[in-house]
Amino acid sequence: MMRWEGIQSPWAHSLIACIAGLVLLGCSLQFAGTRDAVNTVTVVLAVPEYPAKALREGAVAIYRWNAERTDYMRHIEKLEQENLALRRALTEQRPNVEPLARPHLVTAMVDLRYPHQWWQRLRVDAGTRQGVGIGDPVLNKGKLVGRVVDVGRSFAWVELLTSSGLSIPVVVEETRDLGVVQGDNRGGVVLRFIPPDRELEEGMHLSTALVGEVFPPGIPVGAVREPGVETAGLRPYGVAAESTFSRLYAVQVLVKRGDRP
Amino acid sequence: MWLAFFWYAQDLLQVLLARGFFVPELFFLALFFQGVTEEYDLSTLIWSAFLGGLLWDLRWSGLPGFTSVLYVAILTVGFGIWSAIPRQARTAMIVVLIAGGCHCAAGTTRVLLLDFPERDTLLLLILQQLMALPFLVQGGMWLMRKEGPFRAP
Repeated sequence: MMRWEGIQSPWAHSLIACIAGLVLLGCSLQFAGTRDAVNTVTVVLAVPEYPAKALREGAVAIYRWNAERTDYMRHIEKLEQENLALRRALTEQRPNVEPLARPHLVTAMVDLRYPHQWWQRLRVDAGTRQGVGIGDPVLNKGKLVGRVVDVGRSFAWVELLTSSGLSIPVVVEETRDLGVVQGDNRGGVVLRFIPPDRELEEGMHLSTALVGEVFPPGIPVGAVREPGVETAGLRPYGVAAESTFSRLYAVQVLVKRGDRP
Repeated sequence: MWLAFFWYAQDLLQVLLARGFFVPELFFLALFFQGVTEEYDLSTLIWSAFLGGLLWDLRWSGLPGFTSVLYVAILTVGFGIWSAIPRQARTAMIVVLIAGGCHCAAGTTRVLLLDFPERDTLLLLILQQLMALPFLVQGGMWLMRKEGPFRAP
């Protein structure tokens, strides 16, 4: 019972509560500890929320399994024919080679996205428990949308492709030119470090390059758009990203199977 | 206790449907339906709305205080409308109508201030209101079964 001496009217309590809420809202925008508080509540509630999360993941898995099964059935006949032809072509026994560690996708839902950091980062509901680690690429429908920059037990923060804080080496698939894509914090993406003598055409495809240690090559990033103004001997190009960044609800994190607990 | 249950139910529903969906504001509706009975102190309900909204913000919107203000303000308006209705005209149907209107206002305000209004947003908002209908009907039936007059604050 929160009835203060002298304040009996519920309308007065409403007014006080509204003012307290507004003050709290104003302070929370300035206070750096807000994010820690939000993360703590998320971690604490992860246990009672587990049944709903498990149910959702089960439903998604069943739906996906059905969709994939339809596709698989369509291709089985063709693959069997190819397999038969390949078996006939093998005349020598292959050496017993250990298969490479294959990455696998962890589906995660976006559960927090600050309006004032809309184009920079978001939080997803998968963390180290699902094998997610810092640096893992984050995809949406097979297209690159960002990279994990901070990870907890049941959540991970993702730096988006549209953030100026994220630079990703890419290759222009048609010309094999190397460049770097970087966001502009306003929803746009720019391709940088292309020499002016290299004429790229609109619509050329960009994918991650085999440069650096984190990103596997060949992940689709976007398509080249119109060139920008040449500066310092380099010409930037606009990039039409493959994903709709304003409506990201579910993403897939590309984690390496078996290399993390 | 019941309020905690409805907050938890709303939270589970949000987890189940993921962030892109607007789940019905079950906690808010529970507050409103309890507020129109004689059994609960309005000031306590207002501060419950504040705390429930704060927890919701810490879990989902990331802006502590936003939902608190939203719940308290709309709850106050709802109770204000309810208190302006003559006692003889206070029926469960009127409660359901006011609760539905307040719920719609809460959803619309949240979308306008926190989300990017796009083509699908209106559809999701309508879906939220439709999902709230069974709870509104259930709340109305709960009030009809209760004995005694409704509150006149």
